[in-house]
Amino acid sequence: MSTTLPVPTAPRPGGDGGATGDPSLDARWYAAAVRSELSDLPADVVEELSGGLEADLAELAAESSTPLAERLGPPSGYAAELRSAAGLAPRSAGGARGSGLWARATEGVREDVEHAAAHLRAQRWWPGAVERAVLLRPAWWALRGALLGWLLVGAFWGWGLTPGGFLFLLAAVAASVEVGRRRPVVPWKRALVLAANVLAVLIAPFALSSVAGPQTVYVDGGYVSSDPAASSGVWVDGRQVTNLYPYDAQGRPLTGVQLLDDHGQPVATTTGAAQDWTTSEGPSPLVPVVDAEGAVRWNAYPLAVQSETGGAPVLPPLPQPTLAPLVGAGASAAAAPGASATPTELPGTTPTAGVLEPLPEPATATPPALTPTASVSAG
Amino acid sequence: MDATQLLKGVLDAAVLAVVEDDDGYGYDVVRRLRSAGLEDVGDASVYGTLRRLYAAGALSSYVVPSEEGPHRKYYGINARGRELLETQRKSWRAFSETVDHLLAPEGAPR
Repeated sequence: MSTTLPVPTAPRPGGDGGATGDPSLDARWYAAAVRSELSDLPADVVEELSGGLEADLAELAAESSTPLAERLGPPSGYAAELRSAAGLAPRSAGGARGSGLWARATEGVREDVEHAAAHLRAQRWWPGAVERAVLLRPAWWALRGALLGWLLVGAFWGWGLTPGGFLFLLAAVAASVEVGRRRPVVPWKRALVLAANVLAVLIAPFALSSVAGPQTVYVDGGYVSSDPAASSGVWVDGRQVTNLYPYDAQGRPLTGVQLLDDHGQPVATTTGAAQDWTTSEGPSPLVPVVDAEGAVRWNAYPLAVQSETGGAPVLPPLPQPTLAPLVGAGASAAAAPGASATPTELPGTTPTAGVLEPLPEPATATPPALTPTASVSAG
Repeated sequence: MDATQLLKGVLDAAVLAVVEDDDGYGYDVVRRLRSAGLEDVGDASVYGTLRRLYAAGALSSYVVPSEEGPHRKYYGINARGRELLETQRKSWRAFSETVDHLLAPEGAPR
């Protein structure tokens, strides 16, 4: 009965409190707060005063769902009562830190915070909100791990997500969940966890914008430049197109085909300027055609090439000499050699830019009427 | 009259009295005091008093390990505590008789 056993030097770290749930958590938190209020006292006195506090508080907490801070008042008041009943001097009188201006200023702030916290705890919705927040804690642990892992991977191995980086991220999530589950009680470990939490919150916006926003793609500067003029023209698979070669349904090359885009704008690979080309050496000089109203047309394909000898422009050689006829609308026309190909007019695709003028007959090609028929090249 | 002020003066005796027959841990002692009628007694006051009485050598303490939760710290009275309790009983009787006498309505039979 009257055996004197050594008092425990510290609460068991790691704890099995994970299974006992909310009241134990509240008790731990409250006991830790009381201990920090006693931190100016020698360690053995603190232990003497607060030994067994968790067990007593846990029992009290288990009796009702009302938070301990509401039933017992703020931990600072509890600690002051404990001191006074134990015959010790109040904190402000004897502490090593306590009389300075800084200490008094922080004391005022601390009281304000405690006052606000007590007000919050008195709200009807507070217990429910705390309960839900506690339920969400594991999710936060995982997110915290992912965020810190993301930061470390990015800092040491670059921001692209490699398989190794992904494994590291998973490891960080697992470690963070484990730390959260263990609930460190040693002050410096708690401080470390607090710092990690703050850091995770701070980097969260950056991580989210990196995940949700457009990925930064690094492309060879030879193909893409930020010059707005370079983004004009026609591009296929990241390469600039210099000329277009229309074929009809029977697979025969067409000439003088004017192309408009879905906005009714002419589709022009170039407007004759050297800076239209982003490749180091431009193609052979291309020649536009002039329509019946005298307007220069760069969207009649294929564009003719200025011959090197200075003669009349010639049609460039075809990139692909043979195309199989299409199955469908053009099949009957293919059965009658020499007949005009009749491009099928798609419903609702009439260009909106208005009526186009007919093109004059190019020197090397048969007159290509814009709509609805196009003739086979004489070449 | 502020009952908590009165309580302060007799808390030592009250705590010693509730552990006189049976050892108890902190919250257990609080509950015994409350069920005995001292409903306003503060948790921290009782714990502080237990620690002070222990430091003064009037109580012994021992720790009971628990598998499910934190350790529980029990307090039991010892010989010195019993002496102290006996002294306090005497002084309380003398004091309360004096105050009873003092506060008794005039002319009332004593």
